Amino acid sequence: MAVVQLRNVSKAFAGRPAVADVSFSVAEGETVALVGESGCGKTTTLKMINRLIEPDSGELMLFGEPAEAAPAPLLRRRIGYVFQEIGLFPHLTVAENIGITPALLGWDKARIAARVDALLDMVRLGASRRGAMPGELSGGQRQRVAIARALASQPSLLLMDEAFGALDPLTRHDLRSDLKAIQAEAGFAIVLVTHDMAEAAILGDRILVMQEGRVLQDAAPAELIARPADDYVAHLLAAPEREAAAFAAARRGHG
Amino acid sequence: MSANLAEQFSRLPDLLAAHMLLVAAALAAGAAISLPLGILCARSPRLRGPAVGFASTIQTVPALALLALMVPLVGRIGFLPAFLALTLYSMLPMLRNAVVGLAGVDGAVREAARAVGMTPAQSLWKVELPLAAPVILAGVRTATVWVVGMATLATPVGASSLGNYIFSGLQTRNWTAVLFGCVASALLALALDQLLRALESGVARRRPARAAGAAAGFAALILAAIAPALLPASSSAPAAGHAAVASGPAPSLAGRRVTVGGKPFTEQYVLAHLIAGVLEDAGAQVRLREDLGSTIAFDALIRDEIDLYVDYTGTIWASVMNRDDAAGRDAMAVRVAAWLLDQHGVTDLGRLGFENAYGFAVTRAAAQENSLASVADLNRLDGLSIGGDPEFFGRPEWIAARDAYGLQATRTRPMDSTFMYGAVRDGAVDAITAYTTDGRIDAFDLVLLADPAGALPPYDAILLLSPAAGADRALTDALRPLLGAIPPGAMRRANAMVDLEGESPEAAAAFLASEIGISGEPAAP
Repeated sequence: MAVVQLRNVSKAFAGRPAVADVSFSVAEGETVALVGESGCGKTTTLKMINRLIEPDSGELMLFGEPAEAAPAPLLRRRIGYVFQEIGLFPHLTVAENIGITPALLGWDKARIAARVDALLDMVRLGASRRGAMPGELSGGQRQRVAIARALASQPSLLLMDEAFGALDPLTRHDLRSDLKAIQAEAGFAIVLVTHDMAEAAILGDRILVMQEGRVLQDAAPAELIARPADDYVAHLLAAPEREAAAFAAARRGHG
Repeated sequence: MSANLAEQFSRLPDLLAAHMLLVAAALAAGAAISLPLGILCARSPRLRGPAVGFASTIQTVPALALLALMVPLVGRIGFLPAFLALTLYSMLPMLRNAVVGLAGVDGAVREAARAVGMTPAQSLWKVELPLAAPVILAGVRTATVWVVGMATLATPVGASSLGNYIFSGLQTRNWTAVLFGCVASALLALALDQLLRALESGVARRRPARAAGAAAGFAALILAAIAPALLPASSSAPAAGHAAVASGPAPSLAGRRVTVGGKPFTEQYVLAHLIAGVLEDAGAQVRLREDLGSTIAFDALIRDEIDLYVDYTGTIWASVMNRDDAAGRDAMAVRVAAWLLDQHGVTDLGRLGFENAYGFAVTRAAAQENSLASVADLNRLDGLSIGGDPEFFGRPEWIAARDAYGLQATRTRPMDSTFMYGAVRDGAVDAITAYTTDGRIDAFDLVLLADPAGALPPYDAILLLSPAAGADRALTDALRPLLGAIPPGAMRRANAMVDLEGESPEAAAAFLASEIGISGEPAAP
């Protein structure tokens, strides 16, 4: 069964189409990366999945049911969401931030506390940070708390919008490999938005390339690199290699 | 001086209670409107412009004018119009800070609140309001300080407040009372401000114990201050007016509650206490409503909110009947009485015996130097300036006098009446429109100029009773001994006792009572 299924979904803002006739599905445990330039509609597509943005037309199925079947807030408690701005609640402790969705779901206190401890361990923060306020943490630690918060209610779907975009390269690398490990254990599906082609290729089982609100190509990374649908996709996918070549040239020049 | 100070302290519990009740009620109502409205505005930007614009517009209306405008709007004087004006006035800081505070919540945090599955209400209560709380509380603090200050201006619309010290002190030249009122009001504002600041910092630093302590202190201060207003007065006797009337052929006022009004100047304070003494001798329970604005007193009378007060024929003629023609002293008295009964059912019981007219006054030295005898002589002075109360220069008789005596080039200098006698004595103005019963005319050696054209109308003091009070035989009988009983000289001496010798209006009323042979002690304040 598909965790997410979009059929002919469109969305316009003030008459300007942002997403046009997009269809794709995400299987259980699968990771799908949405890539493309700024303004291509990838973030809008992601936010329509947890109904932070409502589509104008088309059909959205979540966990095998129409997305409108349940009120949006109830739906969102079953979907993890991590974004670049992090958005921790500054007036709540780390433990309270992580436990917020279980609390909304009415879990009892002992169960929430146990879950928070397990998650802190999972994101490698340590139980000693339970009572810390978000303002006392580094950027990488904050994003770890945000990932723990998103996974608190054991969702079968995690949405990530440039989640690692604001982090330094070393932290980004660590978090990325930790996330893969957590996913391997918990088995949730991921839809992630990124402009980093390397990240899309490393994390994604499939990559969707978007341009001007449309899906240009939907394929596994190796397939995409081997048989790009057009010059634009080929150019986009070659970005990490061009960067690596430029970096190598710079090393030679200054070494 | 220390007796004066003790007198001010003795009035403090009642006035502080009234002031605090007004402040607390207005702030509570203002917050109950502004905070939900602020939340609505934060959610719907289309509402924000009109709502904040409305509150800002109210803020541009001068406080005293806003209070005065409420009286015709609600149709009565006292607590209600003052409460409404203060409520409106308190809204802007609370509304603006609620809007700003909620709008200032980080968009990422709001998005996170939605994304973790909060409903809009959960997002508001669990995230947005806690984060906006320090800004919202700062708005409540600003509103509190403003309202404590503005409540002192509620006195002229008939609501008691710490402003009673200021308004009556200003009129009776009791600077101790004025200063006392200012200091009391400032200390109150500071105390409330500090408590709210503690609450604000407790909330901002997320220390619930500190915030709760400050909130409890705030509530306790308000409760302690308004307690005298809420507890029944120990002196109140059961009302048994009807039984008393039925029990004998000579009706007394036993148990009858009578409200005596007055305008904010010395003579009115003295007369109010004199009348109160007479009525209390007859057994009535008297409540004084002093410091009413000029037309506010009349409006209160026709609505039976006060039972009686003293006004002047010329004032009714010009300001209430809107007549700008001249009339002789007796003719005017008759026509005013007939008109009041006919138009408003108000009983003009009769004249008290003295006139408190406007008269153009100059110093004796100036009169001799420039040989001034009549108002007409004033137009010989270059750059003539005349001081007077603001009301006078808006009256038809000023227009009449100006045109009759060729005073068109005069510089008018409106000022509080208490200051004008000193102003002409010290040469700040050439002449003033004095009140002819004021004790300072003699004391400052001023000369009243003749008015051969009869431009200034007569101002006989008359005793006016509300429609209900006018029908009360017992009441009118009790008041009748006052008619024609107060000669101008006695009134002037009583006024001088207050204005020049620093005596209280009660003491001057006692002097006047013995002077004119009316038995009885004057009312307690």
